[in-house]
Amino acid sequence: MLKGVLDLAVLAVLDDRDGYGYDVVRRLREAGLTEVGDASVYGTLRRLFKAGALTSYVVASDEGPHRKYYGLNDAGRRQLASSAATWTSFAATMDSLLKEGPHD
Amino acid sequence: MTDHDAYARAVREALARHPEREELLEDLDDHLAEIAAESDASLEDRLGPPDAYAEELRAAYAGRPEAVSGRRRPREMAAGFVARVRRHSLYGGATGFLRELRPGWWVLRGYALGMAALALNPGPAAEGPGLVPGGAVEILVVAVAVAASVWLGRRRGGWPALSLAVAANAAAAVALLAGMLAGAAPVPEQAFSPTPQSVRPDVVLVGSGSPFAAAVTNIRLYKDGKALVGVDVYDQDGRPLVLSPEEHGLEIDPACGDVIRNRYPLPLVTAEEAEARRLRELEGGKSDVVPAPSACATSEPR
Repeated sequence: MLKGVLDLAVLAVLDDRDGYGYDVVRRLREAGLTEVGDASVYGTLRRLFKAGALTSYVVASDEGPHRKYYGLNDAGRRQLASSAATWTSFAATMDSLLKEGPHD
Repeated sequence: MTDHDAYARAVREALARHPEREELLEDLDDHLAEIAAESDASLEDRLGPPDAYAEELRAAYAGRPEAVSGRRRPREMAAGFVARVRRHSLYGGATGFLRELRPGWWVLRGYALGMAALALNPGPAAEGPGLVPGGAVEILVVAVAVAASVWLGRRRGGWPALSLAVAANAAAAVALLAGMLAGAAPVPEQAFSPTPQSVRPDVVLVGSGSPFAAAVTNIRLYKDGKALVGVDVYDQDGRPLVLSPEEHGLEIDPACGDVIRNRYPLPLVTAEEAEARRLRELEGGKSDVVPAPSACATSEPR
């Protein structure tokens, strides 16, 4: 996965709704990133949190362990918007490159 | 690796030297517990070996996410293979045994390096390097080297310590090899107590008085207090070191079949016991013959 793309994917998932670590992994896989590594997602969450893009809070759970939820704060939403713009333009460039190219 | 506590511990150990370890691993336990609760499959099956997990975590935290593709990457397949090997009981036994031997290696490594350092810098009083440190200074040098080696061995993770350990191991191996070559060279005669020429060359205990009284009938090898078995022993010229226990009323246990004569310890029984076993074998057939308490050399140490 390209550098920074997992960040964007995680931010996008959390923008949808807050989630705890394994929940984020599951939602990314359900979205089609089936091979995304658990440790990669967990490490990315911790890094984004350290960078100040996420808030976190603990929710008590009756049946399992306590869950630390992550959600976007303003900085996270700004990062998502700018990364999404970069990605969209990058994807558009790649699309047109592939359409113009001699191979399909 | 059966539960998420053990898995988390292994990941922590792999990241022991990470500068932001606490921050990075803050909710690792809860996270792993969550995954463990979802399925009966072991964490190692689902997440791969803890080392690989730790490496992926380190990469992601540093902003270098692992490549993702539709196929299983060779590295993942290798990790899966490694995980299967690691789960095998033989591997667990072998690595457990090697782990127990490690402190012994640390001491030997420090000793070898200390003696090598003394050999390279002979002091005014030194008569050349021996196998044991001589004066107080030599003992101190070797003691410091052993302490440093053990300290290095007890440290975990991190590339500076690891590369230092690799360098120390290589240097110690060279020192040990050089020491063995030096030991194979002719040594002054007074190093051994004089052996009468009339006695056939045999292995005797040096310095224990009469060579007749100290005949060696078997060799027991210990490492860190653990008995080693099935060790092939050779002399300085690579010839098998074979003893003559038969000359001292002992015999190879007949129940052990073909025994390699330089593989120690030998499964010895008294001549009477050997005879009794042979008789029993004739009477009761082979299936009744069980190894003596001495045990054949291929069995596990007890």
